[in-house]
Amino acid sequence: MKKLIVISLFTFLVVFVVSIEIAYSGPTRVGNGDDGGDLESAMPVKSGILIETRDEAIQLLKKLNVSGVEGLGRLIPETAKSEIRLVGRNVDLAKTDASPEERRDAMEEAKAIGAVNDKNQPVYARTFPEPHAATRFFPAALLLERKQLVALHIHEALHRSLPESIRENEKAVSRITLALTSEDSSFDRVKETVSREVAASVTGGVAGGVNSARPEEVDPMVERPNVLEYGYRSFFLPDPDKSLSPVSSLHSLKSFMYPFGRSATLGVGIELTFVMLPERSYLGPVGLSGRLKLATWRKSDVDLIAALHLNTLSDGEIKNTPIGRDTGTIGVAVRRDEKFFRVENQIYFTTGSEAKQTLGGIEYTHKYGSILGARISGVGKVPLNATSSLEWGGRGEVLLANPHEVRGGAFEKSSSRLRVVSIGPEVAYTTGDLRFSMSGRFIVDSTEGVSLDQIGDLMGHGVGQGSFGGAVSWQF
Amino acid sequence: MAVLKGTSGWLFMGLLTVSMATACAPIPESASEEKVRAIDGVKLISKEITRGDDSRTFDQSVFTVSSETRLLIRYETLMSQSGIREDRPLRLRVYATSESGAALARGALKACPIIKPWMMAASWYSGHPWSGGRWPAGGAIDESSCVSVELKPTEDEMSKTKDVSDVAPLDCSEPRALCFDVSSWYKTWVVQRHENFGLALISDRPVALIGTGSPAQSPRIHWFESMGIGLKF
Repeated sequence: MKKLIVISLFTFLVVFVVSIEIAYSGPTRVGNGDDGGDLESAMPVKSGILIETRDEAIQLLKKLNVSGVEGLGRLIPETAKSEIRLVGRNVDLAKTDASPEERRDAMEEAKAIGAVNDKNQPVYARTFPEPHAATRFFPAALLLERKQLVALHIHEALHRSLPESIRENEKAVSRITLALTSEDSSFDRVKETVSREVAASVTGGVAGGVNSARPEEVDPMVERPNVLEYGYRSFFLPDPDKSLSPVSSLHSLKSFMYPFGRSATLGVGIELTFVMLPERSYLGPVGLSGRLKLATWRKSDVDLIAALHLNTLSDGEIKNTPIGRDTGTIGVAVRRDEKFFRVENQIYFTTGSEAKQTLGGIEYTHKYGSILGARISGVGKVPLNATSSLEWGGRGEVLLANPHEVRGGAFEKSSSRLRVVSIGPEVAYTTGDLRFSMSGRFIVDSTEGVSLDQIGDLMGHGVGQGSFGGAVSWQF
Repeated sequence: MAVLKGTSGWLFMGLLTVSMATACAPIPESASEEKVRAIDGVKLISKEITRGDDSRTFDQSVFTVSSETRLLIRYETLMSQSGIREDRPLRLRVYATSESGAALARGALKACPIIKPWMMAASWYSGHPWSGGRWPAGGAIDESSCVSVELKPTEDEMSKTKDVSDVAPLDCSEPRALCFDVSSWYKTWVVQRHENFGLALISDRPVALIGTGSPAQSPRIHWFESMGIGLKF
């Protein structure tokens, strides 16, 4: 029966994720609105003035140390490694002796390859606003001065390397290009310009009188990345004679902040817990956590996650339990957050450690093996109005842990490798800066007789057969 | 024989004679020394107490053994003791809280081998809270190998034995002391099987025993060790 439930839920998750992907699939969006058809006739450039001016652009960027400017970390690699292609070399709009038919045909061809804009003015270059895309230069670019070509290389690279919220804003990119290529440019001036433009795009406001290109798609993680949260979890304990961790519930207070700039790249958090035992509550483990944004691939954020759960700081009553151990966790999270859904996959590793418990004068050492965990979570979002939305979804998690050993006095017990599969629903309501959520977790399959007690991570996985709880968080 | 004619020859013969005389003399067995240790693993299991880590089940001054409670007893480091003589009795000693209780216990209390692993978090239904820890209600014990309280030796028994401690140590003659000869358990489980699951004290009638919360009269284990190396021929 358990297997049937697991298979059903897995199928549901797969269908859910696939349906979302299908719903959001469509023609590949091409930079600046064209269809990319001109790439078929594009000719790679390996030498000449375009290559020379690109090298000059790289030198300029290095001189300005743009790698140290937040938001420009990938500008030099994008400038240096982008493939350069020359498109429409045979299209000559400036031919003076052409007949009206020839001029019309030339214009049609120029339009077809994107060498002119809507007003039939020549375009110098185009690129896809995605990392590693090629730069397409049009014949008009060959008439520019070297200095202008340097600026053009930088401009196109900015379209690929700036944060998503700003990279397609032509005017913002132009202002940053100007800050980089003007005679009196400096590190501070570039930094100030980029910061101002990024901030304007994030808030959807005005910088220099220009509206952001896509204010409605601002990443909420960037807009309000900091979270202060109170949470409560009640545990489903197994039969009393099958558990040595009589923790009935857990209160937690968590603060997670991105203090390093506005790009929400590195976040750090601290969490305090209060453990409810049958007779009273105690200070539980203290948690330290971090999240570092590594990259954004196909609109998905790839984050490095790490957490320390320190039971050494707990009250003595909690330390003297089998779950009173310290844990260290490191992993990778891939997260895609869209207007109508959010999906996050995590894979992580938790180190093994020991806890000591004294019962009736006999000291028992609980040795926990390392844990490999994989978690899939997904929620659908239903916007209710401009500031509130409803979320519903769930998560599934598989834990594989090395054996749990207990030794003390003449007693010795070692388990086999442990497997715990759990699922749970999640419902949340967001209004303004506040978020109210409820979630559950239930073990649906495990190695015989194994509960979360043998995993031994009270803050992370809890105890018993699962939990149910809620949280109130303030995002700011 | 020419060799023996000299002084050195007579000296050699003398030494040989003395050494042969020594070897052939009756050598007494090495003397044994009685060791007494406080038992550290004392755990009550009860029908009414479901949590194995309930503080009422250990470190108490008094434990009551009845049809609904049992006392699990184990000297945790017994396996690592060397020099225990298997030819001498190994005893368990507990104290009743009163002389009348001791009198009652002599007819009701039994010490039975436990046959499954257990820890101080044991309960009426399980030896430990993890997989494989379940045991029959009241503990997994070998009721066919239970031993009763040793009765005080008669004068006849005292006169026949060469070592009084073989029939009852001095401590067992105290009015409230209850001793069990668990030598058979020791040989079967500890020596032969290398398992120290300890013993369970069971009784159909309520018997109040002094627990580890009263260190002076908490449960003890007695054994004999050889004092030196004896030679036997």
